[in-house]
Amino acid sequence: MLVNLSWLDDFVEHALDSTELANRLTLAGLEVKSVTPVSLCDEGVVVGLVKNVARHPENPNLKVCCVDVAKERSLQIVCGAPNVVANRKYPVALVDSEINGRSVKAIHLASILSNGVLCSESELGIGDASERLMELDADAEVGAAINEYLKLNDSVLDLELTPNRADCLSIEGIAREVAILSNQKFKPPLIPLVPESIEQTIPIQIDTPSDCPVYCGRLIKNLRGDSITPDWMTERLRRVGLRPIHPIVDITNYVMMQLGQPMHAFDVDIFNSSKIVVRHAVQGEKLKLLDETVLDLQAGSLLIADPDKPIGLAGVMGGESSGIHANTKHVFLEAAFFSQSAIRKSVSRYKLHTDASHRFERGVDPNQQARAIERATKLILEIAGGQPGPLQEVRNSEFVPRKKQCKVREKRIERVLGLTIPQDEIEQILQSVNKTVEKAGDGWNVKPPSYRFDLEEEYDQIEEVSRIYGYDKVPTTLSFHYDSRSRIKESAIREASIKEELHSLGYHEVITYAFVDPDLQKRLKPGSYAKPLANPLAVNMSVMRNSLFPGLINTFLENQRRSRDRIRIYEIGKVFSSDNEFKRLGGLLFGSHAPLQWGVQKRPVDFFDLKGDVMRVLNLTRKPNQVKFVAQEHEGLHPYCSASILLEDSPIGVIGQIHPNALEDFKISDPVFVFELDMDRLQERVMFHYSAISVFPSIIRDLSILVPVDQQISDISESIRTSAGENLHRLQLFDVYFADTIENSLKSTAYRLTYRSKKRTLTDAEVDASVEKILDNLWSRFGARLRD
Amino acid sequence: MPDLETYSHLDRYVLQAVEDIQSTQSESELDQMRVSLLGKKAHLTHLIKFIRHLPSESRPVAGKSVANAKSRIEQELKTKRADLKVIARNKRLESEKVDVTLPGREFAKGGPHPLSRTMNRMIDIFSGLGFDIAFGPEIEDDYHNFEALNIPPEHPARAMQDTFYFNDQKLLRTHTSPVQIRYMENNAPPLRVVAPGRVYRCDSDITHSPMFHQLEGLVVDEYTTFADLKGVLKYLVQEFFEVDLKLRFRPSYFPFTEPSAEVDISCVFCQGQGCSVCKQSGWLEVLGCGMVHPALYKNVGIDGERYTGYAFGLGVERFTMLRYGVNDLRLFFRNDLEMLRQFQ
Repeated sequence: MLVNLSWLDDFVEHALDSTELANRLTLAGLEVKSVTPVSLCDEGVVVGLVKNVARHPENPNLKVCCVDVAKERSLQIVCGAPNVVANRKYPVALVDSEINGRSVKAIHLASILSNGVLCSESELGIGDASERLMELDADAEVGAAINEYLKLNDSVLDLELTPNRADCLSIEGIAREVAILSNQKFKPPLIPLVPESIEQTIPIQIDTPSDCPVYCGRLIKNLRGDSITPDWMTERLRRVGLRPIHPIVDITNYVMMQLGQPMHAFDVDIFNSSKIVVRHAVQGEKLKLLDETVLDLQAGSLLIADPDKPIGLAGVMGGESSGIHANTKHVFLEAAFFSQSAIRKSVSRYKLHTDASHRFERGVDPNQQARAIERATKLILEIAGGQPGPLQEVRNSEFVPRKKQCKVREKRIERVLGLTIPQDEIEQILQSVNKTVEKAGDGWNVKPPSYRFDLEEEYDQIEEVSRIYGYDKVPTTLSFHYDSRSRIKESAIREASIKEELHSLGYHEVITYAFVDPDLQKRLKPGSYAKPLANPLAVNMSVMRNSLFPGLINTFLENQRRSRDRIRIYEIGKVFSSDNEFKRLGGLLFGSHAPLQWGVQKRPVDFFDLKGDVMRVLNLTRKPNQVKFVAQEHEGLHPYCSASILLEDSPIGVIGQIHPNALEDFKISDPVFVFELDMDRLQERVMFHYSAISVFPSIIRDLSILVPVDQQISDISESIRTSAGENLHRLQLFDVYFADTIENSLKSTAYRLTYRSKKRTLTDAEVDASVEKILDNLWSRFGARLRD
Repeated sequence: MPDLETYSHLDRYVLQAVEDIQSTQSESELDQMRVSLLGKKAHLTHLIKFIRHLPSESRPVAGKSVANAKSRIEQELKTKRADLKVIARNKRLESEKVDVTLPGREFAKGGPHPLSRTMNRMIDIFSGLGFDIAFGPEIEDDYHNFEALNIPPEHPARAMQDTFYFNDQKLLRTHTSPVQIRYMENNAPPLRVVAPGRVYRCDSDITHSPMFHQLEGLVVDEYTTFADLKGVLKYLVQEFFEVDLKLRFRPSYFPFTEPSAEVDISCVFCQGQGCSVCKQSGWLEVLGCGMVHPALYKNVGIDGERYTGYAFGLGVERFTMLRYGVNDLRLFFRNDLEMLRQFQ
């Protein structure tokens, strides 16, 4: 919210300069984002009267004006603005004055001397209009400094208010706060009652008193047709961010800014003004708003209506059918108190946000509607004339929110804040904020004022005390009243360890969006379910990922486009099903197996590079013999180069090459390998347990075995392991080759078997017997035999 | 036939032999030399065999002379052999010379994402203070994300957080605060926990990412005060930035804390002097915090009279940007390896 200091000065005398004031407000929770001086000109800019306007002899776009600036001087000024007219008043920057940071000089414009500048609003720094001159009122005193005349020695504070401080959405509200913070008196202006001069009223009927507990109105007839908004009001409105529209609308806006009470004015000639009805909408009704949008009203929305139709969306925006027009003659003023919930419903249903709804949503003082009407009436009579009817007020007290008394305990303040504040200071703060404060036992009974919607309970009062006393006075302590607990078990695999393992293997961590492109995801996992967002930012971020592959592929493609040709990345994050989410680890491997360098043969990565890396991660569980890779087709993966990974016989993830079809459009010809593991299964490792080292020698046998070419090696190894007996200490597969196989139906494998016992020295005979048994089994089960 | 004269002039022969030995270049040459000097057909061997044909009175002299010559040659061969061994070893070593300036074989290392680095550092900082680590679901229900945090439907605070919805009840969490509720539902005080994680808001521009990270903290105990909150945050900020920074607590509003504060730190780039990053103010807003609102205790069944507590929430991206001088939020989610490599 914008607040200009000179308006504030009407209600509070404080001795603070703008910077200090901004600082105090900020530290009291009303954050001042900026302090901007209103004027960009110095004392040399004055009110000038253009006496006559002549054409420039050379340039048809320019005019030569004779301008009276008093002090018995008339100046010749060349001007190009379209709205320069004789006998009108405009701001004039005299020679040697400063506007907008530059000094004004007498210069020749197309050979005619110009002794100054006629100014636009933008040149003075008070508005955006730069094409047209700023027009001043006819009664402006010629020669008077513009800064004086427009009260430009002023600054505007831009406040970022939190939603709980509805009471500060007005100049008076801010002034009240400034008074508290500067220890001065808040001087609420006296608003005199305006006597009625006609009897006429418009009956007000409230069908929904709980949504509209208070409704005040007044009919004002026979407005002057030629009224204009005075400069002082235009200026004030402009400084708080409102554009002048029409004198009556400007006045209602002005009152809203001053008191925080949103108002509305209806043109009574253009709707059925026999009655004003506040009611709920019926499904199917339509309402055309002032901004010309047409609402299809939903049942229950709070409306202002005449006996025939809706004429406004209560507390949000008026209807087009009852709005003020240039030639409005009779108006009905409205100042109401609508319930917060009724307005919030309208705002969220119709996605409308206005100055009025902003205030009603957050809470408007239910006791100031009559005051607002009186204030607006007085301004209307001054500016636009007219005959006021009597003030009308419909009030259903039972629905008007009432502040209840609450107890504030001195000890509780101390316990929450960790700070002892002297009793009299607490009391003083409570008094400055509340309507009534009474000492009571170990504290005070307080009753907040009706405009403080944020004050209900004791803790609200504690916040007020701490806020006004100053957060900076609260000490900074670091003390814990119980002992530290370490909850990380030694057997836990820390996520950090998994990451370190991958880092040492050359993988970089990436973080990608959890919502992905449904097309890409489909391509990678054709038949899978993807949970859609109801309100995505874009189509390519519209479904939740069901695997980490889309993000990895996107990151891969992005980096590949930048010709990074060796890519190892991983991500740890959630993937989503229709009703659940799972934490996964996913990785991608592409390009050369080693960075380009001397002494290392360059070769592209293959499945086994990735399998080795995945094993490094899985080995963190310390269950290497419990991991199995089972050839299995996976959607989106190469049918002959993909596998399910099992840990202790239940699936923990997948590994494989991305199916070339999925990457077809991206012109990637080299293979891309990926894996994904379930993080929940990677939480615990087998605890370390020492087992005695054998002191007996080992016996080594190397076996070269011919195996049918399609036989999976894991079965062969498993068979060797199970038939070898308890003394096989270690089994190593150290070669596999296909080159010299018989008719290409066999492959050759080479195993090293290391036998060792913990109890005794083994004999050659018993090792031979074991090998014999292994070979028998291999032959009978797989047709595998010893190579000759 | 050798005569006695021959025996007495062996000196010259030995000198010649020594010269020949010296001229050998390798152990194999030396072996040949040995055969020719001391072998069956060697001159000396011949002389030794012939001694028995000399007159008996001459034999001792001749024998001594031959033995002497043989021993000198043997000695010379031994010395030469040792020399040749040294030379050969040196030669082999020399042949094994490497250019130590050639690069070693390397497999490039990877590294954590800078946001993970920040979260890990923070977790370490809080672990040191005895905080537990908790996580929560990213697809949250309306109750935990809003209602339980004292944000009823149509509350204006909901408009402050543009929410991604799946339906009326399910949404992507807009902050890590629901973890507070879940943790309090499942644990009894005293509580001390931090919850890092991803959060989502329907907002995307230069300074907003639709997905970002927060770290939430919660402490509930019998005598936990606002002063303690100030202390723990000062500790965090100073440990994280490793500089003695000033903190400024400004009153603010969050539905789930009261009193609430926004926390500014003195600008890490200009030490509070005023620069473009802090917009000349000398302060950087870095986090929000406050004393846990009693409504939350009520929602989770904790006695709000007996216990007090505080909570705070901070933006991980913001801290990371300030710490490492990353000037564009979007870099974090572009995952360019060239950027990531700078954090390995």
